[in-house]
Amino acid sequence: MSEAAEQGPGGESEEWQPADRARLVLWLILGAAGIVYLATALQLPMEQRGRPGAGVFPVVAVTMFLVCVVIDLARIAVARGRGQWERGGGRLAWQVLFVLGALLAYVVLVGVVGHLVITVGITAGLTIVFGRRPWWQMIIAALIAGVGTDYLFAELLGVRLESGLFEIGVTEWI
Amino acid sequence: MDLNSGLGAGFAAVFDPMVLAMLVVGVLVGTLVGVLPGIGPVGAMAILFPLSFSLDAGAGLIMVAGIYLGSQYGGSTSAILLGVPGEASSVVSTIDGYEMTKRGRAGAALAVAAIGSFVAGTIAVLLLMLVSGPLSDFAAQFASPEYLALSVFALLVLSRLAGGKISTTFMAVGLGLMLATIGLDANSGTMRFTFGLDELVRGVNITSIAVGIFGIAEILLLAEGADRSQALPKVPFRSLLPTRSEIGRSTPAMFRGGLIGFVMGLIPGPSAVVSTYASYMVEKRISRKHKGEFGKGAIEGVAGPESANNGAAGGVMVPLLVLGLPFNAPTALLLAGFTIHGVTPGPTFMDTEPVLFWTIIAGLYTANLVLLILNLPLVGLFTSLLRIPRDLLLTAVLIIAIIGTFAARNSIADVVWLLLMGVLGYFMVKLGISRVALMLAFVIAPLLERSLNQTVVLSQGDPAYILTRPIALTVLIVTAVIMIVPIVLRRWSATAASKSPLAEVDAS
Repeated sequence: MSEAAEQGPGGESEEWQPADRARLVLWLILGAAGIVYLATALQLPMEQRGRPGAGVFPVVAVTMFLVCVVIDLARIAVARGRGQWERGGGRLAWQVLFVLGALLAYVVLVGVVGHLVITVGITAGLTIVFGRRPWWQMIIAALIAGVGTDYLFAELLGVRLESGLFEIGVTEWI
Repeated sequence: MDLNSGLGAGFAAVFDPMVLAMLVVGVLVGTLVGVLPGIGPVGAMAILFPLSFSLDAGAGLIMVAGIYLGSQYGGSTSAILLGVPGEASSVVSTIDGYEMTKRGRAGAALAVAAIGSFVAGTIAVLLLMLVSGPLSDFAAQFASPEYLALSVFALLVLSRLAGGKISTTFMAVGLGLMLATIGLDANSGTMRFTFGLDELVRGVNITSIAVGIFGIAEILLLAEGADRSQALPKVPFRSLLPTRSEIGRSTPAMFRGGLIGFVMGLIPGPSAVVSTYASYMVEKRISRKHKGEFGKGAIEGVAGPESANNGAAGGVMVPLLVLGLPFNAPTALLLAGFTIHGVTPGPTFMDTEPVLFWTIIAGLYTANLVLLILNLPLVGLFTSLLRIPRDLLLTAVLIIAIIGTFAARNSIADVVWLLLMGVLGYFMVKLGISRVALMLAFVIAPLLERSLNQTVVLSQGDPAYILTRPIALTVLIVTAVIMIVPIVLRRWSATAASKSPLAEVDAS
């Protein structure tokens, strides 16, 4: 997909349009991860029984990656020096952070409270944040999401979902 | 198995009630999700992909292929009715399709899009049948140097076609290759980059990568977008009939679009998107009587591009089935599906798994037929999806994405990767970095590493060894030409422009 096309229908002016500063931060984070990866890769064998070892391919991959990071960092530095720093516009929407928070909550809490309870919680939270509906509709939506997905996946599709420390789940009830 | 008996066996397998039901489910669900702006074919496939794991290989792969074809068709529905493309390859259809809607010809535009998709799908399946056999025989000569050259070709050509800066595309490629090396190395049995964590031994799952960088990233974009609602035009069933003139004008465009799409599908990169632009330009250029209508509701401007993206969907199956190499994101997911079901596509696929091979071919054709039969009468149902409140839609998609990822390996670590990949995918979209490059590199990495290692062994330390292999050398020359020619042409045109009299006038 071309990048312009990949952007999808989200390119309105009020939305966050990060530019060189965000790029710089992302490159530095990924670059640091790349250096850790390279250091680890160099400890892997480079030759095993006359064949290329487990470290060869990772070293090739991370070298390409780090070279590209350095090239783009240099480009950003030159652009800043020439006063051609892209500033972008808008700011990161709190709704985005909320969705990520919901996903993080699932990861952290699913083992404790189980899929059903955490899904009810996430659905309730998201419908409060993104919708304007009466409380009873939110409760119905949350219960349908929690019980419905638990029943559909655990009972009908045979996917073993977490029931948590208290073993709360449709499978446990049936 | 010859062509006739193969095709017969394929259709017999597809018309098994279970397989047919999964195909219909895939096509319908794909269309439903494809109608929604923001969640494109890859997002739809990625989110629904884990649902196919519990099925057998034929049913599961046909379901995923059905989702792909359905979501492509669904994308054109919202493009034509609302001027909002449901996915990237429908962008071109908005130009004339939406204009037709404004003129009260929405039904005809939708019908032509559906018929065009069917015609192109038929052309693509026929060509796929014809070329797969000879190409498989040819590809049977390939050894590791040829696969190494082809993998390099796929990644380098993609970097030219993905758009954006080459350095950032290669960064994405590097990241994809790095992610693929985490876990137990199948070649040497060495643990790599696990840092003592048991959760990393099995490596990063393709589902976490695909659903994260496409599915979760789309959900985040959906979350930050303003709640836009638009009045939906009514499409009465009788308005779906194109006029005789519209049929006459669109039929040749469908055939041209189908062929253009199929050929474009053989090239690595965003073939469906590129083919729609190419088809539109061809139709506009060759039109004599109706050139002025382009941009104002020309039926050829819908028929050509809509056929082209379906033709490309057939074309991309050739490298996947014959070489085992995915040339775009949807086929990368399909390859992952093959792997999960323990099937390896490639030159010997036709001989080792003839029934599955022909089931997929017959399934692709049947999916196009199902799209044609079901989608026009159900167009009202699909567009009513656009009225689903954003809070419910977002929650439903998020929960399906989480469960789907978890279900792939019953691992919460995969959901952690989903979160990380979702954040990365969101930033990649925002910063214009190719997500397809990352995913393709991740999928190709095992083949690339294996063929690199084997080529090094075969070459006995001679770097020129690969140049002594005619097929590998040809692939490398083609790659070099594709990489270098655009740069030379750009320099050439810049030099020519600076030497022209107009430039001197401008300078003065």
